[in-house]
Amino acid sequence: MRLYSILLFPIILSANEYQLGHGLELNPYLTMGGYFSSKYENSKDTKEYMIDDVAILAYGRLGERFSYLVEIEAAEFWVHNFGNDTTQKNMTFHIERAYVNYKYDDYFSIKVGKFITPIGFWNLNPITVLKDTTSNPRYASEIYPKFTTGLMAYGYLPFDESIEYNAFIQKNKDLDKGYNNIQTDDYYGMELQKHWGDLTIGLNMGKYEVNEENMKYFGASLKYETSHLQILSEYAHLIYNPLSNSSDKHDKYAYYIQGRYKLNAKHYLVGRYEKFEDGFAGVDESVKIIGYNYRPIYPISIKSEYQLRENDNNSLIVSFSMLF
Amino acid sequence: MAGIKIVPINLFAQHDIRSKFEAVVLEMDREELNAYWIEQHYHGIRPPITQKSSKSLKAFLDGVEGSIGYLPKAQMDGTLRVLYEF
Repeated sequence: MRLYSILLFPIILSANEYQLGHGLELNPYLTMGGYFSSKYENSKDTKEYMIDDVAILAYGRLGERFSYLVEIEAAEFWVHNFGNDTTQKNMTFHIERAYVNYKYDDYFSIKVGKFITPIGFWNLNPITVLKDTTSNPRYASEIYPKFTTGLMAYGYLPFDESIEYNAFIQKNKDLDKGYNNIQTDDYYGMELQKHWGDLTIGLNMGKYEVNEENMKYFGASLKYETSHLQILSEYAHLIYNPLSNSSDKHDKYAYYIQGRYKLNAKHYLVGRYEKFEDGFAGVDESVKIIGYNYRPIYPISIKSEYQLRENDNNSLIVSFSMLF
Repeated sequence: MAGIKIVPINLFAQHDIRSKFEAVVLEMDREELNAYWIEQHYHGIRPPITQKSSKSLKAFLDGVEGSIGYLPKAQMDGTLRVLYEF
């Protein structure tokens, strides 16, 4: 009976019909998918339209406990600046993710390769179509490397299955050098997330090296989600030494709080307040955002947002994105 | 279960028992589940495989170690371990 069931498995899967946003499952060993996003931005300094991301992903099983994922992406694929009437193209695809996963059980799995750094919520779903706004808070790009090339262990704690853990380490160069917000070849960190029904709270910390300078961060994240309301908030604090000829330590921190109200499956209202401060660089920035997200079907998102900035450089961003 | 890989099995989308399972156990409607699995696709995770009937689902549970699914009480026998009743 067991043999019969396993033999039947690929036949059943091959019969699955393609649904937009769910990928094309050719067999258990290969599912193909991808996404793209385009946006128009209008502010005092910027007036441009761009095809922002074009990405292809492939994943599947490599055996009973092994699986893999590869994602390549071209960012700022096609950009037209209306201010000076110029167009730029970038058709070069980079490796965004490439890893092999080994799942022993729910308490212990390992990932090896280049993967999304497991921190909080925003960093885990970074593509436009899965987000509620086109823009990202400064929190998402200023404090820690978004991607890690190394080893990660994760799972649930055996003595408390409401707590997820992950720990990661990198002791080598990025798999695709240059395709990360912060370049490092020495990085480690960890996170714990506790789930209480609709509420999840996480704590994280890590350390990485940039130009032989140590950067240490710690942070917290919160997610409260019911069928109509979602509250997301994350905070991160970085202690760093920006000058190699001085031992002085400096701080920068960033946080955001975002509320999303689902009117129905197609219409979402969003509001966000975000703050970023870097004492050494003299940056003290806060942004208020109101937005609307229309999903005719879930894997297609048409968003608009208006950003209110302190320096009066307000901006309007409209985007179209799709996952396939 | 330490060391055992769980293999979840679903009934096909229109099955009454699946609808009840989603509403009572998962507490999610079909739209929420669709959104959830679209996000999982981005992370390289597929939804559970489906079976056309509770009879074939029972056969799968009997044959595959670590498999988990839901069945009408009338189909339960001593070969399966009950984790939860709804």
